[in-house]
Amino acid sequence: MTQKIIIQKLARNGWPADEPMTMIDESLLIYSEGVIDDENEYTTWKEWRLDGKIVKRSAHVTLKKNVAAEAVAAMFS
Amino acid sequence: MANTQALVTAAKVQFLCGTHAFGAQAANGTRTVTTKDVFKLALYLASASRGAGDTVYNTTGELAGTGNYTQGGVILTNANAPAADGTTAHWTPSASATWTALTSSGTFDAAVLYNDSATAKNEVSVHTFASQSITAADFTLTMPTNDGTTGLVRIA
Repeated sequence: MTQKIIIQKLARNGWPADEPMTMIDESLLIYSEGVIDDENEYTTWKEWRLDGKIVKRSAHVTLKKNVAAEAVAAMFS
Repeated sequence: MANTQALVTAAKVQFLCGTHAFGAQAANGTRTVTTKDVFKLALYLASASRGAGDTVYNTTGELAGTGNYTQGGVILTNANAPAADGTTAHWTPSASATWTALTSSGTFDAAVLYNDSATAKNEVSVHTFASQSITAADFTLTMPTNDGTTGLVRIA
């Protein structure tokens, strides 16, 4: 059973440019996914390609370690 | 140039001035403001140069207002009062920031936190991550654990 998903239209496939959304059978697309896991973030991404071009790509970034300020109370000397 | 993760220097000064209310303030004999401010998060292109020297939110280097992105970014859910964990004070938004059905105008790698209630839209911090480009899909930025080690904004 094929599932339709929303993708970015490609002008090269005869769709108007700047009209970003259309539906297509997912089976026509090449799917890949990946993970970035380092001290700063844990990120997952998924992408779908049509004719080698990305037509749908999502990402979920989870921040791990963030910004800090050091508070200092000076000593009288 | 590149974006650099930082608690901007101007915000450190503003912390001492009480410019940013991440939580509700207690009224005192001089000040009557007791509400917390609204903070927003905006996305910046990898070609931008946001960093410690920033002072206020602006659209320089921000994603264009296309593809379901609205310049200015999204309002952060703030149900977390600032708290202390050991000797470190910390604050983190209480929910993820999500951009729905986004097609980004370019590759981006930074989110800028700023005070939308402040007249000048004072910037607080820059948070970087690996470059991303989103096409006809959602982008979600999940906040770190709200504690003294990983909280989004910390004062040690």
